[in-house]
Parts: sequence; structure tokens; C-alpha cells
Amino acid sequence: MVEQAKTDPDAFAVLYRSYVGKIYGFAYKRSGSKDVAEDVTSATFERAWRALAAFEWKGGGFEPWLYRIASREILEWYRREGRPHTARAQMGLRELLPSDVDSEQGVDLERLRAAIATLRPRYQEAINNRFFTDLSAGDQAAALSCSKAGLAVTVHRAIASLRRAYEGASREGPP
Amino acid sequence: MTDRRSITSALKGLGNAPTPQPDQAFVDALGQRLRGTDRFEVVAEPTTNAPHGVRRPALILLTIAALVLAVVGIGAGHHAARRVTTPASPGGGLGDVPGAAEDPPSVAPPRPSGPTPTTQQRDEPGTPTTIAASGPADQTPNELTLTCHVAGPARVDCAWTATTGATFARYVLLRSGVGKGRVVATSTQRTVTTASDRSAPVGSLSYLVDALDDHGAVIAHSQPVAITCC
Repeated sequence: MVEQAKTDPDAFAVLYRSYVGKIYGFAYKRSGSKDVAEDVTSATFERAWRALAAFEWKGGGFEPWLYRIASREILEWYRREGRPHTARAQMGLRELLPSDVDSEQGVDLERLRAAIATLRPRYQEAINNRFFTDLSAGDQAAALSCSKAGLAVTVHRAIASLRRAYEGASREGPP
Repeated sequence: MTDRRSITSALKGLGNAPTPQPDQAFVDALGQRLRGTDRFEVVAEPTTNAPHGVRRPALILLTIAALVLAVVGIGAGHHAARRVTTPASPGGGLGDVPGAAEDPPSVAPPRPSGPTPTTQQRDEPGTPTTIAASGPADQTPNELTLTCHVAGPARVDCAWTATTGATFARYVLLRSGVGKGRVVATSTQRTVTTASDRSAPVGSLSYLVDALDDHGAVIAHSQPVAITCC
């Protein structure tokens, strides 16, 4: 199907229909905002559509490839304008999660999201795939070109790195 | 101080939180925009008889040669090489049912025999240039004829003609139109050319069958069949 979609807009339409919900959901969970999720989803599929001709079946396949594009778009969004505690993000957060989840963990979720965007790309991808997608462990490992054991180590390190980034952001205080 | 467990738990909470579906209007609008997005670097080839690696100048020469041969009467039965662009289709959108009557597929749809226009890659945005090609159209090596009919509540039965492609590996029956596009059925046997969609949603649906080779490349396909279900 992916091969066909390289040259056939109708085949790409089927792929688009198949994955638009997943990519939107991923972007929404990562950003906590419907507006950002729509922006990221749009940019992801536009980029995928243009780059599909160069797509090669490796690293877990088409779906992880889409997630990778979406991850980069989210990172770009955070670089551009993603500041913690923006009103829009806060609204998105409230749409997404009941406040008790936030308080129960004692973790500022919006700051946590922003901290993810400061990690090394490989760690971002490891966390994104592990927590924000429904990719299998095998696909996650393939996307990172490592074994499942290697994936576990990478996720472990990524979380440690995220904790440090989150702590650093917390010490800096709200903007 | 935030410990690791809290971070992990918070990540799980975010990941497992309910996620809304994108607005249908957004999905349709994006689909429309994607359809209207030019992609000059991509030129469809796999459904043509043009050999791999044959690029534009060679194809133009082949086309011209075919025309000349036709004019002098030598070209009977000769297949003109053809390539198809992926032109913008302002009227069609990815949100639409692919291959609906008002939005025919832009890449090498099966056609009846007879003179067939040949579409060249365009140089500038705009309408693709079309020149006449002689002889029978070079089609996808094997065309499949697909028929579908409503066979009951939420059930659509489809049947298609078998491919003769030597590299056949499997058939894939696809459905789109309502909800997510999906693969309805696959068959790895050349002679198994029927399938039932037993969970067809209510609405306007479009079915299409592909014959694929081992690498997943399309060696033959049908025209989309529109049907209203049920």
C-alpha cells in the first residue's frame, strides 16, 4: 500500500485515512492542545506526502516513520512557540486530563511535555514511542535500530534524562 | 524533588489519557489540501510498462517514436511508453471517496482498449500536457475487473477477475469511504478471487482490489467500485 501510495494519490488517501487519527492523537497527547495537534497533524502529512517517494521500508515501517515526522514537528513547535503554561496549552491540558491526575503525581504535566522537547532526539523518540504511541516493542526497537533489550536501556536513560530536564525546568520556575 | 517513578507514572497518565478524534471538517480539509499539493519530484511509474529507470527524455523519445511508427503504419500493436504525473486535482480531496465517479484516480487507471492519451510530466504548474499516443494503451500489465454488491446487513460481497501476472504474490481488497480506509481481505491464491466484507459500515463505500508482487508493488489493480451500504 505504501509503495502504491508513492505514486497514487488515492492510495495515499487510504493511508491518510488510516493514520490521521493516530497522528492527531499522538500530537494531542504530546502537546495537550487541539490547536497544536491539528497544526502538527497537517505538517506531518504534508511532509510525508512530499517525502514519501524517498521512503524506504526500514526502522519499523511506515507508522514509526510518520511518528518520527510528527515528533520533529512537535519539537519545532516547542522551539517556535511552545512555552510552558501558555493559556492555550493549559486549556488543552484540562481537556485532556482531569486535574487529579496532575496533582496525584505531583508532576506539572505541561512542564513535563516541554521537558521532553529538550531531550536528545533519540531519547525523545524513545519516550514518544513508548508512552504516546501504540507501537509494539518490536517496532519501537526497529525504529531506533536496536534490540528490545537495547530499547529498554534507551528508555531507561531517556527517563533519567527527562527527570533531570524536568528538575532543571522546575528550578527555573514558571516563565 | 521528583523521583523517577513519578515521572514514569505521569508519562503513562499522559499516554493513556483519552484522546479526542480530530474534527471531521479538519480531516476533510487537510485531505483536500494534500490532494491539491503538487509533488513535482514524484512521478508515477509502477503501473506502466515503462522500464525502471527510464526517465523523461527517453520516454518522450519513445512516445514520439511510437507516433511516427503509427503514422507510417508500422506501429500496429506497438505499445507506446506512457508515464503519468500526479497532477493536482482541485476538485478532489483525500476526504472524498477515492476513485469516486467525480474524482477518478489520476494514476494509470485501467482503460478500455483504443487510442489513449499520454500524459507527460509537466514543467510548470498548471494543466498537464496531453499528447495522443497510437495503438492500444499500455496498461497495468493485468487489469482486474471488480464487482461488488450488497449481500445483507453490513455485508458486501466482492469478486474480481484473476490476474495473469507472473510475479503475483497476493490480492488485497481495500475499502474506503466511511471511517478509516482498511484492508478488507487478502488472498495469496491466484484463483481465490472473491471476498466478503462482513463489517461494512453504512454509507457510500469504495472498493478496490490490487494484485501485489512479493515486494508489495502493484502489478494489477481494478477500478474503484462505489457502493452504498447497507
